[in-house]
Amino acid sequence: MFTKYRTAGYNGYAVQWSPFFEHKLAVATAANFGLVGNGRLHILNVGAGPAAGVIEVERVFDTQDGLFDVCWSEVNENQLVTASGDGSIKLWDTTLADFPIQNWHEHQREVFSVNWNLVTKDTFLSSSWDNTIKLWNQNSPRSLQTFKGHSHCVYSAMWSPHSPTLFASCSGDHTVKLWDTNSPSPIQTILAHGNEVLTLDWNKYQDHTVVTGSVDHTIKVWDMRRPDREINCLRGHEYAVRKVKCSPHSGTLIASTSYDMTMRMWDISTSDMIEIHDAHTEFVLGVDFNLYRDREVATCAWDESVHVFIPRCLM
Amino acid sequence: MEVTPQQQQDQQQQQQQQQQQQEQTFKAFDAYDFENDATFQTGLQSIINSNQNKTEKEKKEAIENARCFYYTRFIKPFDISQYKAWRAQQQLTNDESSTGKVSLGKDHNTMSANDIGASASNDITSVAPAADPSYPKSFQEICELIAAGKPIPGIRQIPNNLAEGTPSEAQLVPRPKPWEKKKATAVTDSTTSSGVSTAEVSANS
Repeated sequence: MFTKYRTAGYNGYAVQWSPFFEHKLAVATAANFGLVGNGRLHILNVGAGPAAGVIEVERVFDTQDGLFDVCWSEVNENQLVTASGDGSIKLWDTTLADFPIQNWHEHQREVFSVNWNLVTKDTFLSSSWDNTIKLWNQNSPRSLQTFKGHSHCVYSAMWSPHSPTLFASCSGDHTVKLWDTNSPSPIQTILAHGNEVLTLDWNKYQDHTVVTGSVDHTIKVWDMRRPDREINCLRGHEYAVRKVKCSPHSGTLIASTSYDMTMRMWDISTSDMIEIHDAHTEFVLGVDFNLYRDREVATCAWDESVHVFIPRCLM
Repeated sequence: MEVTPQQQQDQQQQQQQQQQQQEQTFKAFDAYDFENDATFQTGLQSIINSNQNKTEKEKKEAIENARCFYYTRFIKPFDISQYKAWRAQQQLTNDESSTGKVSLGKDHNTMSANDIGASASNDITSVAPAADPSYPKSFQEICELIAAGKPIPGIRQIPNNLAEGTPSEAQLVPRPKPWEKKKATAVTDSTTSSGVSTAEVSANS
């Protein structure tokens, strides 16, 4: 059983639950599979209790180019930032219609991820196909810092949930890099996979643990202090792993999405696959755990639909 | 050896001429009718087929690489890296112009034509043998429209404006994350008898 919302005409790229409101969900989408054409940011209200199964649209914002990622502000409950195919980064305020309140355009190519600092909450990161990562403050007209070191597209850059300055990035150059904002160069490089690394996330309960997903179909769990080999390798996806997310509620639970049209969940302490959500009919790209309704999960896919549900393994 | 002002001027003129010629070549390449070039279309189909299990980025790159490769080889050679630099410059100056973005030009890439061979051999060694994931049919159709330089239907022009009106001020205190709560609870439990942290109190207010 799941609740479905159609992003008609737009293919889903990313979903994120609000860090302030347990019923608010942001969905980043792109027309024509993100190859060419417009983008749309959807702000949805997802019912619970008697209203379970009801998804209402609070607002949509249209953009010239496809949206590849979205991240809620950690300081203002109405604001969120998006990553765009034209290299722009836009800050939106859900109380104001139609247009963003800020528009930065420094990246030379597609921006593929945005991520708000979880500790100091005053900055966010962007990563791009121009091989760089940039650090931003929402009140500054220009980026604060640019991090160079990857030799291929940077698909994701994610803050550590435990440190104000530490973040990790993953790239088409097959590596994962660990950075500190106090240093212009990476402090650690791990040759993580035998192919492009499309996604990573930090374990919320184990300080040094990072999970990665790759075009090589595998998910790997890493202790960043032990770059020589992974803690474990999770096999099961039949095609590229597009997104991994670590549960905010458990140190052993992760979710992953893939071009094999499934979202899967795993217990990383046993390496067991404990869930397969196969109701999407095209590539699944986005997945997120609701921070405050602790069993609820949302996914989005190229089949123009968003699913909200409680996975069987959590019932 | 000293360079006279006259020589300097000659050099500058020569450079300008070269640049103009180069720009003409680049523009001719941009305007080239790949769509009606049967040889190119035949080759393109096999490139699209062999890139089916790639990321969308790689697909776009493969198509543009194929165009560069084909043009430089069979029509008129040019320096691909210089073309890309020129193209990037054009993109920056034409940032707000509405045309052009419809084509693949928005995705000028960093690979050289030689990389086509490199990535093809990568396929054999590093990608696990499996059937290609089946891209939706319309994905192929859009790839073909892009490769053929045909207009993509339904693209709206969105003004590059900022919202009028005053952005909202934050009214809520950031809520503690589940892992912050659990850690706080664990610490509180082990040190005092009070089970509620200050963070939770502020979040509930």
